[in-house]
Amino acid sequence: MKEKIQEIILASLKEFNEEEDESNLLEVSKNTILLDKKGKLDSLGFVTLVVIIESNIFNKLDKNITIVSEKAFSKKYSPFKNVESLTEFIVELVESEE
Amino acid sequence: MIILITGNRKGIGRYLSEHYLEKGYVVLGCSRSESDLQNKNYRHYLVDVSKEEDIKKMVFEVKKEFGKIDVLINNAGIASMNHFLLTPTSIARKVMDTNYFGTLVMCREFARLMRKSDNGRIINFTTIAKPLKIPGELIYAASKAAIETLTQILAKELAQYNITVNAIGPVPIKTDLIKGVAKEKLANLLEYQAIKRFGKREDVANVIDFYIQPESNFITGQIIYLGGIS
Repeated sequence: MKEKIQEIILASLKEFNEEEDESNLLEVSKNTILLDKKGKLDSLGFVTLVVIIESNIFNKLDKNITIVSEKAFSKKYSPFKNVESLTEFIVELVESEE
Repeated sequence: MIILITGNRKGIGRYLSEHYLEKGYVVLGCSRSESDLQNKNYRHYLVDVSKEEDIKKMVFEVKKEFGKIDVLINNAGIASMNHFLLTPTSIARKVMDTNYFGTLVMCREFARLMRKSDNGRIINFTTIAKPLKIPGELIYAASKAAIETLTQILAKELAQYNITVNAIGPVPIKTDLIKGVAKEKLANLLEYQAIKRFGKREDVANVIDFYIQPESNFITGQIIYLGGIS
C-alpha cells in the first residue's frame, strides 16, 4: 500500500507542476520537502496539491479521504513536512477507511 | 455543461432544472425526497443539505459518474419568519444548518470537482430581507448575510482555480417559501422595490444565465438583487 500511495503522490506532484508557474515547481521525488521552512511550497500551493492528491486517491483507490483534518494537526510531527511523512499519514488514513 | 442545482424538487429549483435541460445541459438535482423530473440528461440525488454525510455521498456518486461539474447553484433553503422574542434556538440552528452550512459544504466539496472545468461557476441565493433588514426575518436574513460574506470571500479564494462565485437576491416570488406570509406584508415589501411587482422565475434564470455565460469570467463576488433593491 505504501508504494502505491507514494506513486500517487509523485504523480500528483507532476500534475501540480503542470498547473503552476515555473517559479513554484516542485521536485518530483520521495525526498521533496513540502510544508516546511526549507520548502518552497506556499499555502495556496499546498491547498492545490492536497486537492490534487485527494482527487487522485479517489480515482486510483476509490477512497474518499480528507487529508487536512484535526487528526493531522494533532500529530506530534507534521505529516505535511515532506513526501515521506505525507505518504505515511495517507497510508494511515486509507487503512482506517477500510 | 454539467449543472448541479440543490433543492430542485419544486419552485425555482425545478424551474431552473427544466430551463437548463431545455438548453441541452446535463442537470444534477438534489432534494430530501424523490423528484418526478424525467429526462435522459437528469440525475436526482436524495440529499438533505444540512447533513454533511448526505452531501459527501452525493459527491462520491457524481465523481464516479461525471468526474466534474461546471456550475453549482445553491438554491436549497428554508425560511423562518417570527418575532425574535418568540424564536426557539432549535429553529434558528435549523435555518443556519440548511441555508448557511448547506451552502458552505456544497461549495467546499463541489469546488474541488470544478478544477477540471474551464468555467467553474458557483451561484448562491440570498434575499432582499438582508439589505431591507425586515423585522420578523432575523434568522433567515442573518443566514443569508452569512451566505453573502461567504460568496465574497470565496470569490477571492477560488479565483486562482478559474471559479467565479456570485449571488442572486430575489424579491418575493410566488412559491412555497412565501405561502405563509400575509398578503398585506407582501404588498408592503413591493413598496420597497424600484419596480413594484412580484418576481418571476424567469427573472432569476436571467441573472443566473448572465453569471454562467463564458463571457462573465470577469464577474465574481457580486450580489444582484432583483426589482431595484440595493
